[in-house]
Amino acid sequence: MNVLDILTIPKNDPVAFTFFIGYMAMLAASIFFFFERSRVDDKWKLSLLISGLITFIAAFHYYYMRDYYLATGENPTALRYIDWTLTVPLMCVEFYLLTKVAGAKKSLMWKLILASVWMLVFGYIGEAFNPEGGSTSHSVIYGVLSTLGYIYILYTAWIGEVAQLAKNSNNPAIQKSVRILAWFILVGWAIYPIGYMCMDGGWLNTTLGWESSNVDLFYNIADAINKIGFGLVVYGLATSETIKSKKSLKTA
Amino acid sequence: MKSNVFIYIASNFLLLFLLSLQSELMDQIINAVCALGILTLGIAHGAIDNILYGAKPGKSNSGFIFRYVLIIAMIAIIWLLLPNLAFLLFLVVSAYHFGQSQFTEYQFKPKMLSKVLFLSWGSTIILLLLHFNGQESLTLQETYFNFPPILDHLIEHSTIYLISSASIYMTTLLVISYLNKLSVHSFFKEAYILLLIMVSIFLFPAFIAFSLFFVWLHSCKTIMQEFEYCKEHLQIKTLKKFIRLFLPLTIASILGTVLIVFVAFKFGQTHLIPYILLILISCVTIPHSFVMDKFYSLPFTKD
Repeated sequence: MNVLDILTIPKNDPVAFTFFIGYMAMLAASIFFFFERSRVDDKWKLSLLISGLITFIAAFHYYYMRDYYLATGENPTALRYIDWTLTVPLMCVEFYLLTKVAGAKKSLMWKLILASVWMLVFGYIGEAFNPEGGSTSHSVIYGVLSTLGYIYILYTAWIGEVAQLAKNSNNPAIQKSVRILAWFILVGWAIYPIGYMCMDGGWLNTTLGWESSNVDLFYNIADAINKIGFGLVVYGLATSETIKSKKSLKTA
Repeated sequence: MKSNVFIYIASNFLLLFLLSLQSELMDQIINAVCALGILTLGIAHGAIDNILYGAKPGKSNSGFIFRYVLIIAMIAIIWLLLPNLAFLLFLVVSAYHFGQSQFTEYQFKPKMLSKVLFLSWGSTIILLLLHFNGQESLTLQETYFNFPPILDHLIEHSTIYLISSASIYMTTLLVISYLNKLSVHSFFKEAYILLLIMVSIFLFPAFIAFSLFFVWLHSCKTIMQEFEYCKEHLQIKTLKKFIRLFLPLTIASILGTVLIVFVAFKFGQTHLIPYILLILISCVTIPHSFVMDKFYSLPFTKD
């Protein structure tokens, strides 16, 4: 296969376009987070490392996914889910690290990881084992099961343990960051089901006629928003807290 | 986020998948669950109006009941004589009531502007229902009984009314947010909820979309506030005691509704059912909205 052929992006293919943009954006974000890590207080270094890892793992997979898509024109479902299986639980770790200051226990992290794995496993079965030509009932059953995991995480972030811990932390910066991350889950993560329902047999595919190629378009947009945005929120918190602690040291 | 808003969001996500099955049985189950929600939580949220207006449980409140029934009778007369006016009145009062309930935790000033916000928010919801489900309403008209002609007019011109109402809402929200220093989080929360209601009304059949909104965002929120009121003012501390408080009128209303449907079936007048229910709902909604207007002015309903 000729490399130059692979790298040609058709002008009318927004999916390929977003694969390239996604790859570069994730890589740039990773470099940014890794470099900025040295400028924050020690207690925030791990959070920034996780943020950098999330975008770096995604960048690595995007590198392969964009080529796979250009070469075959098909959805790189397996690669996509391998990426998510690593990065989504890491996002849950970020939640734990943020609320750890407020007394979060490791059990919270494991519950969130379990819910995210539940969400991804059923999502993967729904997509990868979709019968030829698509099946609405298959898409719905696994869509519902996957959504249950999402709803659990949504609940934890907005009402449950994470929200309560942030509330009790009495730290406005943590409260603000947890709230922003909860918004990411509510709005940013909600883009994924739109993509899921575009697959053959999916509701948007059968009812509104949205093509299955749109699956990757929505996933790419959602990934860029959630992974980079998620990291930037953590970065914002880390820098503001670092500046604050430096100021208090000076005055002391 | 309040738990009722969370349930509303979660229900929308799950229904999005379940309705895409396009199975008649699933649709019937969902419709039945929605009807059950309206009959239980929907009715219950208005079942202690007398208490909210200041009556003490177990004591005579004939004065309040007399005035309540009088208003109901007056509205029924307007329905008989001027159905267009009655229908319009019902829509306007409902819109204001929905809006007031949505923004009850804020103390917006100036008061006049907050009233515009309530009315425009509620109007936007009602017009969204008419706009995205106009054909459904017209089919209902043909199958059953003729609704007031003004409904046709509203459906026909729903686009322009909807744009006007939504624009007034957004402008008022922006101005009021600026004047009252509303947090960015609260601003986005309100914008998100309206957007979600809009998507829900666009995607789901009118009855399901309305039930989701009415049961979770409106009725459930009101019930939670009523419970807080009872805990604070009436020493009704447990949920069991609170349920016992609103159960009599809720059961009476459910039985009344069932009786009307039964009588209509018995005499072969099923085509009248939606129209009669509409009149009955509007007759109780208007006095209920007045009671709630007084209730929402109490400080404890604010965060």
